[in-house]
Amino acid sequence: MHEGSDSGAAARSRLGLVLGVVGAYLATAFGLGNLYPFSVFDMYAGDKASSASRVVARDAEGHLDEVRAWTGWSCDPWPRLDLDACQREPPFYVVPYINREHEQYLSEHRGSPDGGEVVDLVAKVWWLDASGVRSAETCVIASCRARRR
Amino acid sequence: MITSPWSGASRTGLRAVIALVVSFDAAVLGSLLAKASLGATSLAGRPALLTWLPGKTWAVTLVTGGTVVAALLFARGRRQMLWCGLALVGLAWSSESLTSAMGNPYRNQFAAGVVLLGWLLGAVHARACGARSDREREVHADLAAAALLGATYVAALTSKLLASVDGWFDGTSLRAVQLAQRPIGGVAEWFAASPRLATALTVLTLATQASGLVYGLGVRARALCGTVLIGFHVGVYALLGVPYLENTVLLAAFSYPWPRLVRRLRGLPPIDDVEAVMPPLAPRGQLVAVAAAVTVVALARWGPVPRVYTGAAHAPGEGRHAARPDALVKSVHEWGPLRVGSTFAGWRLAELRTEARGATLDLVRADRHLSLRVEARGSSGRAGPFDVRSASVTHGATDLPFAEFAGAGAAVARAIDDASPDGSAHLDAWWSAAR
Repeated sequence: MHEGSDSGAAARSRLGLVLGVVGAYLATAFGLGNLYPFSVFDMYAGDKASSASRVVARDAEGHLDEVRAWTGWSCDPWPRLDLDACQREPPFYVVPYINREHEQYLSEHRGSPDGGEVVDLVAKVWWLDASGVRSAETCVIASCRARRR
Repeated sequence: MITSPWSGASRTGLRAVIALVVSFDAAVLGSLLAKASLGATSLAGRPALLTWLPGKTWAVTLVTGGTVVAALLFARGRRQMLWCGLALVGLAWSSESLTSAMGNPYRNQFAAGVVLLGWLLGAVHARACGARSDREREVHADLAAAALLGATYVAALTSKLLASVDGWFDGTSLRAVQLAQRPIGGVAEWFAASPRLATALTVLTLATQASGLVYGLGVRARALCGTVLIGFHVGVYALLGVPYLENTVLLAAFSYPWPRLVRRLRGLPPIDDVEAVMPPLAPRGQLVAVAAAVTVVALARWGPVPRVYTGAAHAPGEGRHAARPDALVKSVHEWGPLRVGSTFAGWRLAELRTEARGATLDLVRADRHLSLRVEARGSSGRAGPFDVRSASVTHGATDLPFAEFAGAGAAVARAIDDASPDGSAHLDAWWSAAR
């Protein structure tokens, strides 16, 4: 052990360490999948998406807003946001964890059935192509009552 | 020459930042774990070790507290390898327990674990090279930790390119992700209508993530690539609203010569760029290191790992296509090799619905119900727990133990594979025949 002077062999040893741990991490992650702290970080690596969707609230005048812009939700039956209600051809792109967060928000912000105003929970679906947004549509998931926050 | 911006200086500040990020993650994971319970979103095939912790406040408090204490002792500097290893085990247990309960890994918390793993590997390497003290060992620990932090971006890039090269290069996927992630109206829809901008940002994203490959290769590489990667995280937050705070903080800590900057601001004399230089690993040590790496990689690839958990079901689910096409959903009696009334490992096929991308099977046994979905392999970009060479077979949300229906899933997959002699399931042909 010494200080300061850096032999070529020592430098190569450090390079070997850096390349070795990087190579081993990548090979392990792609062999294993995901097990902390190994991951292939494939969060947005799905197949090519040509559509997108987002669950939003639609008031009586047709204005679209975020679910979180409303509170005191009352729906009968209580909606599931797995979008099975929106049966379209072809299927469209969703980010399930966002819908789960919306479900959680709705559950935590329930209200009485006779309060607020009529609000539809809808999925807005966009169809994309090379030039931009080809078309967009909405699909009603549930008719509810809620009040603006 | 492979050196660090911290060369010649005490790395106490660097360890303190790592400990801070580890403690923050441990606290976040602990608070979520204490409230978590195993339910419909829980992952199938999870090891028993991971089902024990969720919801047990006292146990979660112990694990979280232990992780934080280990991180703080690591920051203090003595016995770094021990405390680093314990903090890593604590974070890993908490993270995987939460993932198994919630169905989603929290990837922004992987950076802390990656850095701890790198620090540990680097310290082991330095020790094998003859380093006697923690101060000497952390020279290599710093290098390996930074290199692994960079490797996570290479993994993300590789995953994107393996999944869909054209989808990522033309920017459509980025526009779709942005629309789905951001609040309705405003910037999101404007961006969706700007394919050229999306393509430019996509190419920039891929190039930025590629820079992770050289991140650990020296002081300049760290400063340059670190700045680019921090900019990338700021951009992702602005565009998608997805914060990667831990990565950003760790990149900032590893990328810049903080000890020198601080001394300059305080008007103190500069630090000598003198640092312990370990001799290279002896040939025997090199052999052991290579053998260890090959063994770990081989075990990861072929070892007795619960792959239903680490592979298929562990995938986060983003990008899944939703909804069955109404016009195409049709209840049928027969679809390819599957027939209503047949049994699969004791489960009777009660209903069979064909869809554009495959089929859904409703199976019953006594009063228990199970839903399986069959798709062409790769059509969803995700692997399933019962995948065969020709098709992906996944199960719907269920409270049933995985072992109870694993045989049925495997039997269905086998039937499909047997009916696909060329290795390609002719789902479209089966679907057409079923009409």
